Amino acid sequence: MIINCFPSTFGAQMEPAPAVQAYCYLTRLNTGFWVTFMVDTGAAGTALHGVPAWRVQRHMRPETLLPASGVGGSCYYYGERATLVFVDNKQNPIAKTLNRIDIQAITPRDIIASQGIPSVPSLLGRDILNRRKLNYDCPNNVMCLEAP
Amino acid sequence: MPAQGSLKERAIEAAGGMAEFKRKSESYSENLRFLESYKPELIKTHDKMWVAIYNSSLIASSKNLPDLVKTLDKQGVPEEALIQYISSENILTLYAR
Repeated sequence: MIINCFPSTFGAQMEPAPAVQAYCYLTRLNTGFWVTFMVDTGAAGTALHGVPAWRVQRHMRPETLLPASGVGGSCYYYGERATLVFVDNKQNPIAKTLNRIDIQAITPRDIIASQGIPSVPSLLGRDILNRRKLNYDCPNNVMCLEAP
Repeated sequence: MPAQGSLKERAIEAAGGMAEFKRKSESYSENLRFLESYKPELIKTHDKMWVAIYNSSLIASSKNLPDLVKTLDKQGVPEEALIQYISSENILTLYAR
């Protein structure tokens, strides 16, 4: 079971980063949406940012808020149980359920500061990556996740 | 607590069933490929704007995301449409819990 990654600039003028697409199903809301995650070994947990976070914001529960900090500053995340469904190289769905996916809490201040919604990519973190073999061979354009 | 298998089935059901899940997955991939192929042009024409890409076409744009989403909802554009912020600047701000 190999999940292929692909290079993505996430709409900005920067070096492409490894990315993977997934269908993110929020179990409590019984709804899902497509997300492009940046593969990020620096993130402890998988996190939704920007558009997908903003679109589910009104359904979030304040009691799940947790603080976070990183190289760019600090913010808060809501938490939800989620099943991420990837597609492997044989077009089969591969599911991984997370007891908590972090969903960026987007404040009115963030919206004013960015003239809209912050456009930080969603991140596929070590809660998923540490259970897979990540093959990142950029010169040969090979990026994939394999079951160990 | 539902078993892993049933959560996977529920997720695929939420996407419209297996055939629809695969079709939407491929459609979303095509939209991503379109974005990367035409990104230099989009940066020239839509810098600091939100764009919506569907069926490998730019279908809407706005400086304001809520307005763009309202337009898409009115048009009944499906969920696998790609909404992306176009920027000539690098994205540097990342968070990690």
